[in-house]
Amino acid sequence: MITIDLVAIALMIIGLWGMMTQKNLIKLVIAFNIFDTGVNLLIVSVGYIKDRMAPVLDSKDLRRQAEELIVDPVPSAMVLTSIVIGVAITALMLVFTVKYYRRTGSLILGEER
Amino acid sequence: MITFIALIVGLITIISAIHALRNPNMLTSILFLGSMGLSTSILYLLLAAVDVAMTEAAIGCGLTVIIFLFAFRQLKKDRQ
Amino acid sequence: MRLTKVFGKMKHRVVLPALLCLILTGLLLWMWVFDRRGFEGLPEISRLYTREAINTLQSQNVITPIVLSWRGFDTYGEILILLLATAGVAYGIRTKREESRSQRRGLEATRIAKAGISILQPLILIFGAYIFTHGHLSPGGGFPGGIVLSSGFILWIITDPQNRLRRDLLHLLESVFGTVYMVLCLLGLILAGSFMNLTYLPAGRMGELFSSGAIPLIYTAVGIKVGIQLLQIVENFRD
Repeated sequence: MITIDLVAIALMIIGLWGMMTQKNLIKLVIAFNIFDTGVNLLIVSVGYIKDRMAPVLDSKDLRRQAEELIVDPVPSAMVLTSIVIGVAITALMLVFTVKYYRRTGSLILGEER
Repeated sequence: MITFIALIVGLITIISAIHALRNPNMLTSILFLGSMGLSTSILYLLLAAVDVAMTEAAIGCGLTVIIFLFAFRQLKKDRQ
Repeated sequence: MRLTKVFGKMKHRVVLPALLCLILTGLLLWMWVFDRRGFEGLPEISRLYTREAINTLQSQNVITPIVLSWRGFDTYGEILILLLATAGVAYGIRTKREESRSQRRGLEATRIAKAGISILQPLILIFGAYIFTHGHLSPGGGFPGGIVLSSGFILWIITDPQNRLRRDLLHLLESVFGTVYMVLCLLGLILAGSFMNLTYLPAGRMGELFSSGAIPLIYTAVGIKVGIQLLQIVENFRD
């Protein structure tokens, strides 16, 4: 869907902009999260085909002509694992943030003591 | 109709993403990140990817926010 | 100037290349979005997966066998990444003052919240178990099920700072279900001819709970393992 494509591109640009401009480390992690969401949304949006249904075959007609009636299931399967990896990476980045704060006493890049 | 809903929810997503980066209060910006995750899950639902929508609603709105809040509390505790 | 207001306190030398980079990224993505218009129908690989899911595995949800069988190495690698992240969090968050762990400060929840959560927690756990045992029939599966399962315990954690989970039990359960997952994948190599081939159990009829080979068993193992790993991440962040 073209609208959601544009939303995903906007999210990616906002995330990239945040990664380039923010100096607070937690804001950097938030920007990474926004970029991650945008990429996932774009991948799922690639698999969408107009006027088709979700790939859950719960009626007889759907089972008989499944290839003509459902959207692409492969991007969904990819993104399903990618989201969980995203949360693990976020936790790891936050741990590094906490360690950085303990060592330098500041969250702002370039203001270490 | 679906395009109209997608437009409104997409606008909410973009606005909360911008606020999550621009808000000076850290707690508010973490909560805006959670609202972005919830509206993204509605977008996944409109794209007919139901499994991804469930996962995103549980992770983007629940677990990510909780991990951020715990890390934020850890930083506050270290300040003392 | 407005540019410096949007970009914070950065030098002009930095702002212009950054802006250029953003505009270029946006333009490239925009061109790509309009370039791929005009595709109708599924690609050949998705057609193959759909046919196989209906004919050989009798799985009602087409995504589930893709995640577990044909693209199973992705799931395997994802679980390894989660394991590494858990280990990294547990190593990195450790402090020198161990005594702070014994007496946790923090607000205790009100009695209403405690009573509400004692009612809600079993329902949330049942819902999580429902999601991952019915992964081949309805949307959901191991990952959302595991997260719902862990969120039941997270609610219990945040009501009382004195509540603590038994870490040895968590480690034991995690290793047991990881081993079960690997053994179920290896059984495919022994009984059905290829690794992560899940057709060694009878496929049954589409729409029944005990159908589509070993998918319900394997998704249960994956769900519990993912839930415990995410719970360990949160538990490590707490103290």
